[in-house]
This record gives sequence, structure tokens and C-alpha cells, in this order.
Amino acid sequence: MPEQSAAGEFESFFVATAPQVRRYAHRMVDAASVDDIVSETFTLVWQRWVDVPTEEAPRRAWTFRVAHHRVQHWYEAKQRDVRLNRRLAPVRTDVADHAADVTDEADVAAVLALLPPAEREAMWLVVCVGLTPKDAAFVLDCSASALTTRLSRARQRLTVILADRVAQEVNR
Amino acid sequence: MTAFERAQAEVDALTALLLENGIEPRDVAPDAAPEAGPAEVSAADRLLLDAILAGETTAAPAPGRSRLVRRRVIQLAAVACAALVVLTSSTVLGTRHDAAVAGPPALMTYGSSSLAEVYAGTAPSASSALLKLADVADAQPPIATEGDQEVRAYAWYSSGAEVDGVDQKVVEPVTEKNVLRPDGSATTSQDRSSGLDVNGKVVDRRVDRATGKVTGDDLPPGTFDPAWVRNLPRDVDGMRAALLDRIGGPEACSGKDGGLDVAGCLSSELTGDVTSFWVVPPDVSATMWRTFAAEKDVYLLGDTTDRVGRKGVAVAVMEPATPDYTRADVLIISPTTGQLLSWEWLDEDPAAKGGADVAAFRAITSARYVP
Repeated sequence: MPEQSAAGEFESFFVATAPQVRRYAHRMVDAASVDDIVSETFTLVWQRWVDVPTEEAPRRAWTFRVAHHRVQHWYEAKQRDVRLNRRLAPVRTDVADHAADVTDEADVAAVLALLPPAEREAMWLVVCVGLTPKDAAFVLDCSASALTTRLSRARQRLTVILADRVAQEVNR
Repeated sequence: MTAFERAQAEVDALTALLLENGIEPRDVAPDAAPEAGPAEVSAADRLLLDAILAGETTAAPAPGRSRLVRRRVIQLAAVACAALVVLTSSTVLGTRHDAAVAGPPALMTYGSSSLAEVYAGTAPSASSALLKLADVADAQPPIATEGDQEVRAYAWYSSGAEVDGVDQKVVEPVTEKNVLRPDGSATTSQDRSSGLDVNGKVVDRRVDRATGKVTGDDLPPGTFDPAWVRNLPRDVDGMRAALLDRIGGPEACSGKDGGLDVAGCLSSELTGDVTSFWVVPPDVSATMWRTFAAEKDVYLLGDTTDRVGRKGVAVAVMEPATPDYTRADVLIISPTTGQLLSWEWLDEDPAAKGGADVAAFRAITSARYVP
């Protein structure tokens, strides 16, 4: 466990980064699971604090990578739940998709909610959080080409989505 | 333009697209308190911070325990699903051909070393085997390089999907076909494919009722350089430099801060980039194996049979451990052509049979130029 002198440094990092990780989690998982993602992420970061990079940008990327893995685990668990429940019982309705509630809002989160998770995650990290492509590739554990492909697909989808919105407003 | 410069160009284009439509690209906290400044946290996060520093949070289990729990859940799910498949097959369908098995794929068997030896770093080096495979590749006749490059594969990937109105990330078998044209445009299509049998081998998709189209994407001209792979250097130093440059340069492959080391970067480029859309000429494969042969942490697993039934030689590239997993990239190379046949990501899991879980794999079933 890190020494007490590290606590202040971790606290400063937490204060600066936790809101970003919370918003990232909010866009990737259901609202009820956001607190778990944030808690698990920063608990692990604190447990591994001596191994965490000391420079700001790599430290932030390292933390987002932990959060990314927590999100992946959440999707895996959710998928198992869905598969089992589709076979064993009526579909559960206690886990709501918050994205559906915000699709009428004209903000970036509402638009991103219309993208598949992999593209949404890539775009959120580089466009909204401001990670460099290099750091985002590290977070997502993928090559630069794979990241570019996800961003390219996201742009193609958004071009169509936003054009449709303009057309709808014109016809309104 | 490097791969990261292309990624940055996409970021710039996305940002411009949002601004053109009156959308501020920066995110805004949906639940932020109006009075909270950028250097303040909410009351909930303050409580969380105090709990973390006091050692009171238990929500982030150690990776080993997490995998153990995860494994048990998967086993339970597999048992439940398998039981239902058997029940359905015998009472409704009356066929024995719906044989896709739920749960993680079975591990393959290897002739020389165990995965435990690879994870422990005690398996023999793959250097001499790789040099022999390089000679085999070099002895192959050159290939024609005109027309579209078509790569077909069977794979298990993690991907996004919508199930019952909820976005999900799922791992599912796919049969994919990637076509790269001379103008740099590309088409990728993935079909939901058949599953694996109890030995981890691919079930013939013609007898699996679950097969069907899932996704497809068209990428515009100029997306890729179609000559990139066939123009890669034919010397080890040049090959290493070219591949590392593609992934961000040597500094991105230092193995520090949880990132990949050189061998891991080379493996990542080979599996995720070089063999994704491009046909690899034999002499490029030969140089690739000589490049891997010069790296440490590349171990010989030995003779094996890949998931589509082809004989191969397996080598393992150990990635630096991450907070969440310890992963070996397994490359399976043909002893008769020297070409990469398959790759797998195997995550260490002491609780699993064989000591590892399959995180993903891809078997390249065809790679050729199509006039």
C-alpha cells in the first residue's frame, strides 16, 4: 500500500480525474453501474499507485485503461445475464438504457449514444476527453489502425445521423 | 502519414463535423453540481475518495479473484446453456447438428511446452524454430500482386451489438471477409458464424443454424495504402523500425507504464494490422519471423493443430503484465509455407483448465489477390 505521503498526490489526481471517468462511465454503462465503475477504477489505481505512471498524461491514460477494462467486464456480465434470461425467463426490465432518455438532447452525449459501443468509446476518449490517439490506443488496447477505423466508422455514421436531423428539422 | 496522424485527422474531422452541427465536442457532466468548479468533486466522490484512502472499498477485486469468480459464472452459464441446447435438440429439432458449445473456447494442445511454462518464462526460446520457418517462407514462390487483396478468416471477437434494446459488448464467432482495393478503399463484412465443438475446433457452418449476416462496412478510397505490406523492408532492422513506427515509434513500445514492449508491439502489428486487410508475400513473412527471432520473451510452444484443422508451429509472445491480465499472444505458423495461419490471445487464469482463458482468436482461412 502506498505511504501516507502519496495520499495527497492521489487525492489531487482523483479530484482532477474522477469527474472525467464518471462521465466516461456514464456514457458506457447504465446509470446504476456508474458508481461501481468509478469506485472499482480508483480503488485499483490506489492499490497500484506505486506502479502508476507519474507524468500526468500517461497517468490519466493508465486510469482510463483500468476503467475501460471495468466497462468490458460490465458488458460481459450483462451479456451473460441477457443470454440466460432470454432462455430461462421473460426479459428483465430492471436495467434501463439511459441513452434512450437523452437522444432528443442536442449535446455530444446524446449523439454519441446513437453509436455502437466500440465507436462511441473511441470517439469519447479522443474527441470529448481529449486523449491523444496514442493514449487512446493504449487505453483500448488496440493498434492505431484499429482506432482510426473505429473513428472513421463513427464519422460515417454521424454524418448520416446529423444529416437526417437537419432534414427532420427542415420538414418540421 | 503515420497511423497516429491518420487517427488525429479523424479526430479533427469528427470535431469539425460536430461543430458544423452546433454541437460542442467537449463533454458536459450530466450530474455535475452547478456550483462545482473544475477542481472540486461532488459529495459522492468525496465520500468515495475517503473510503478508498481508508481502505474501505472492496468493489475492485484483485485480478486473480475476479477471474476466478468470472470463470465460475461462465461455467454456470455454459452448463445452463448446454443443457438447454441438448433439451432443444432432442425434443424439438430432433437433430444432432446444433452443436455450438457455450462458454469460452477450449485451449489447444501444444507439442513442446505448456502455457504455464510460457507465463513463468521458463519455456524454450522460439528463435531457432522461427529462423527455420523463415527459411521455409523464403523458399516459397513469389505471389502475383495485382487486383484486390482478399483476406478471409474465422474469429472470435469482442464487438458491439444491441440485444433487447440495450447496447452490449459481446464475444461471438464470426466469419469475416476483408477486401482491400488498389485505390485504398476497403470493404469488411462479418457473418455470425458457427461455434466450436468441445475440443475447441470450428463446427462446419453449413450445419449450424445460428449462422447469418451481422455487419458490414465500406471504407472510402485512400483509407489504406494497398502496397504497405508488400513494400515492407526485407531486413530485420528495417522491418522492426517500420512496424514500430506504425504503432507510434520505439518510445511507444518501451514496456513501461503498462504499455507493450517491442515484442508485444510487433505481435500487435502483425495480428491487428498486417494480416487484417493485406496479403503477406512469403519474403515479408520470412523477414517477420527473423525479426521475432531476435526478440526476447518469444517462446516455443511447439507443434499444434489450429481451430480449422491445419498443422502449425506455435510460438508465444509474452505481453508485459497489465493491471487486469497477463496475456500471451500465440502465433501459429505453417511449417510448409511459413505463413501465419492463426493467432490467439490467451490470458493467464490459474483456476482454468490449462491455466489460461482464450480472450480472442483469429484463423486466417484465405489470403490472396483477386483479379
